[in-house]
Amino acid sequence: MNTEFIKAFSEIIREEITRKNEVQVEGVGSFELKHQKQFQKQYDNGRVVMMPPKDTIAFTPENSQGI
Amino acid sequence: MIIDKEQLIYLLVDKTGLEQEQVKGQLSKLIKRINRAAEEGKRFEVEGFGTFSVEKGALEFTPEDTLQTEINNKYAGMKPIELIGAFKKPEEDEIPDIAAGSAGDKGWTFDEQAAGADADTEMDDDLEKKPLQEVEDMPEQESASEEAQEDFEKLISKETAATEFASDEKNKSKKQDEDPPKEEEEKEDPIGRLLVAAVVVITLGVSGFLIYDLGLLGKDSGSSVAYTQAEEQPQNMQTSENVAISANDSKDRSEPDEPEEVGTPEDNPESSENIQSTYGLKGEFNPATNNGYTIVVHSLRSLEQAESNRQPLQESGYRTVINQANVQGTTYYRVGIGQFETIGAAQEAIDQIPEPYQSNNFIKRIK
Repeated sequence: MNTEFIKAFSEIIREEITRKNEVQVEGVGSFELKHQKQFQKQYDNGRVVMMPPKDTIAFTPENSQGI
Repeated sequence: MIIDKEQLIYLLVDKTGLEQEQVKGQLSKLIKRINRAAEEGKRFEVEGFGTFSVEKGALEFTPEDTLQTEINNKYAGMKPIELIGAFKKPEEDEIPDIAAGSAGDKGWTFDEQAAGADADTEMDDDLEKKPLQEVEDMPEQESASEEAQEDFEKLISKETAATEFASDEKNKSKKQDEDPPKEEEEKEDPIGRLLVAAVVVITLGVSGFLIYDLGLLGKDSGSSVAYTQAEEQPQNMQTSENVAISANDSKDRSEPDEPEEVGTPEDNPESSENIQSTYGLKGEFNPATNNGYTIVVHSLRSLEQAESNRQPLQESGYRTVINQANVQGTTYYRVGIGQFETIGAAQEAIDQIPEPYQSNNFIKRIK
């Protein structure tokens, strides 16, 4: 295991996620792209803001999948 | 599409150029290390990717900022937009942020009730106060406006009387009359004061117009103030101003001497002819007669240039004089032709001066 391998590993996951593919890493979990739509949000002080949409990485651990 | 272990290994082989077995070994090593760290409750950080950590017995992954931005590059740089005045009840829409929504909802209803209560009390207060205010206000305003109307009528009647006589004493007494009601009004409401002020302004305007219209300007001592102001204003080399200046000068001169001469400069050429030696277009400049008028044909900023412009005129036999004048902080040297006792004489002499100056000159008092 070297830094070059880790670099390649993270790059592949990144690329596949941006292609909207789910990456399953056996023994760890799966990485997935999750899209968050824009939404209105009201703060406690009464301000209402429109939050922008965003894409995030959602990680699902393997051991919790079965539970 | 799901990338499973086989595909991941294939992609890793493609990427790194290592043998498939090596890649398999490396990958299983990495997974082992992640799991070992998780079992020990430690964090496992992959540089340029993210951090694996254990939260409540389950493995969690927190992407690094760079990875997050790369994933989110479509929407990078977008910031929350404030919606001013767009209150929306969070229950009825698709807001996923439930915690914030419910909190906001509670705050919203509470505010509404509070606002309603406030509004009610305000309404009550208003109902109590308003009629009283109206009762108090209305008579005052009416009386004030009536007083103002009366004042106005009084002033107008005085005005007509005053303009018939058009004497300064009348004006003074009228002003004294105007002042007392003004002071009285100041104790009352501002609308009355405004009305009085307006009436005073209108009255002054009307009186000014009437005085002007009846031709009393010449004899009115009040106009001397206007004259001195006009004298201080800068004079330009424009013939159009000649008339104004000459009018002012004649007025000025008439005041200390004989008021009958006002506006009749045509009478004077005879007298100027009588004193031909001291006044005239041609001949030598006589410094002793220092209170006459001259026709200014050049106005220059340097004395040398003024002198050089004066030279040819002097050689042609004209009386020439250089006057120093200060106009708005700049010193001008004015080359004048001739010496005249009156403006009328100077105006007549303009026809006799050389061609280029006939249309471009002005008459000025020699100081």
